Amino acid sequence: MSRALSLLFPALLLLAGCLSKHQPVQAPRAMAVSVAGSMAVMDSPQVQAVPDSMVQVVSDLLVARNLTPKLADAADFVGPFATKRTTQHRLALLSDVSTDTDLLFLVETTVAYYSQMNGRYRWTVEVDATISPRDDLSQAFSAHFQVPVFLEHYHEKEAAALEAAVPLLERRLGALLDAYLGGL
Amino acid sequence: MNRNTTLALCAFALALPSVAVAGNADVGGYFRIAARPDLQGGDGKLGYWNLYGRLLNEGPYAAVEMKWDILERDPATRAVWTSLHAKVEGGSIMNADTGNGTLDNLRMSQVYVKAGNVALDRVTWRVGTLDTWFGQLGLYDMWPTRLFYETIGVSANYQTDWVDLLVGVGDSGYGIRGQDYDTILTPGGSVRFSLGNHLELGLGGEYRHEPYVPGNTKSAYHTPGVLYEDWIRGEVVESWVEENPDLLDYFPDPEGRDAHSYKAIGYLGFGGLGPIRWNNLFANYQRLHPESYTTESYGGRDIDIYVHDFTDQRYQINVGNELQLILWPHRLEAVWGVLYGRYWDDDNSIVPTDYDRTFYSTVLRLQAFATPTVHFLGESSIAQEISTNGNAYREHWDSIFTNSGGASDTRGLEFGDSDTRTTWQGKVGVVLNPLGPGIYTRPSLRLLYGVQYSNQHAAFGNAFVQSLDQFSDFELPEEDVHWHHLVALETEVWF
Repeated sequence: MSRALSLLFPALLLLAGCLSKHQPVQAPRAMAVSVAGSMAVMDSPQVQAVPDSMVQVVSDLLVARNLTPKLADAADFVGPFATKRTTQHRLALLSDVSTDTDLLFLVETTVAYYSQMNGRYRWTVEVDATISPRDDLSQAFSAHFQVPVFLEHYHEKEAAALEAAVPLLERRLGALLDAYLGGL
Repeated sequence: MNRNTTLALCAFALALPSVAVAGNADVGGYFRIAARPDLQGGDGKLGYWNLYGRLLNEGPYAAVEMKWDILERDPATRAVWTSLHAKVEGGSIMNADTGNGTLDNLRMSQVYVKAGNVALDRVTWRVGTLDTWFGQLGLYDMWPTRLFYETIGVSANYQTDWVDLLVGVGDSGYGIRGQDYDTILTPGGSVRFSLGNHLELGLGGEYRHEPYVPGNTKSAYHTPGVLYEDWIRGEVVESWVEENPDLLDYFPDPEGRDAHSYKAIGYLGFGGLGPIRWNNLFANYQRLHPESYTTESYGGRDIDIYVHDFTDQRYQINVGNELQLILWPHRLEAVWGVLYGRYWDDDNSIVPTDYDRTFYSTVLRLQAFATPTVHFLGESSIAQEISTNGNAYREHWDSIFTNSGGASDTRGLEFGDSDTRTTWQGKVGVVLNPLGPGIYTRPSLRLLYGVQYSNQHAAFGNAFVQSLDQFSDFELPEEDVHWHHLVALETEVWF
């Protein structure tokens, strides 16, 4: 038994290393992208910036696609986003504060508690992700999706839910970027 | 904003829906399924129960909860909102257990409506099933701080950043009595204080009161003049007839009782300190609700024996701690659990039961992340269960010959030849986690090997021959089975 296990583990590692990785679609040329990520929470007009871990993931997604992320200063958008509740208005704001980029990438999230379920706390993360040429918002391309999240502890709230959703968000946001860049 | 931008916005506005909030309908749930052959006559579990860790000791499970936003929450305002929740769950899936996934193994376990911002700010009202808890001992799959599990009623939950106050009241009659329903009023509540993200403290409890209603056959009663030992042996009517020949029609009438029970809970949580991700300490102290009646048959007649006074002194203390450690970020995590239970029944001093025992357990799980999705798991547990009313476990297949004093006692109330069961388990294997590292990240696809040693003979669910009859149709095992091995291919997912 021990010999079989000693052979099994390296074999699994080898297989894991041989798995083909997804090849991101590359932008036709180096392009700069203004990035803003917002998080709305229930029962509050305030909008917050997404956690740093998610910002990092979005940046990595862009870099992997020949895009240069330029993170919008959270102070420039979290306040105005409290009153600008539609994607189109938020894109326009992002366009106004970003003068030296080719594209805008806006990730709007809404995090809501669902219920206690089988020992965990279920949350739902709603995402509206939009990418658009900065100078032509009519060409915006967007996706809406929802990610379930299970947190283990009561003190883990909206930000923790969003961070827990990152592995799934990364996949969906990457697909959105690939779909958009494939058409350029 | 220039004119071109304005035009573009207009076009864009037509192309995009308005910002979305939670959808009208959402479905979440949990599934656990496994194939666990052991070739030792077991039923697919390594040991008897999850005192030795839930891993490999629990069967399949399915739960689906639907949430319908009748009036959606608006993230921007404190407007009124309401949602309907309905949950179906049960421990059976086709081909995975003896129930084969038939619907009678599932139950509509929860239905409730929540409403927020109605009448009181920051208060969420809930009407329906009220089941709630402070948290979970994940290694054991236990909820020591569970409240209102049997209750249907109304609760109000007030929440701020630093306090979470829950007050509820309802009826636990159907949850406890089932078809012998009697109203059991159940008020209760809990309060939890949060000091930042590093410390939490919680207290709570519930009280169950079943008032006697004269004439109601489902009220709590006790049949007078009955000996506890006769009841345990199922010989109450027989003894009565022996002492009162031909007077069965005058068997004592039951006397009404007010019944009550309670549960107090406590919780301390802390974390975010160095390698300590979080530590949960849960405790409860409870007095179980009395049983209603049992039935004995005598001379073709069924006689109900009401047993309030025989079952109203059952107490429990449960204390559990679970420590989550990040030993090497993204490479190695650990969870260490400790559990203690002390159960006593002041009505019973003569027969070993699950109401009279003490148990200790500790479980340690390590999970190493070779890659983000390929992990190695190792877990070990050791537990001891002590029956406080005498022998309750069989150490040997022929324990009848090695019991107390080596003499058979056909009227004895003990079982087996030991009052202590000591169990060690070890589990190792490969885990595939598509969503990345994390000892509790799901879904998990696992290939595991588990081994158990117990001083009890065949300490796992089995269908071995129990009789020592030399004319048994089946071959007698004729050797002690203290080791148990199995291989598991299983998956677990929340969604």
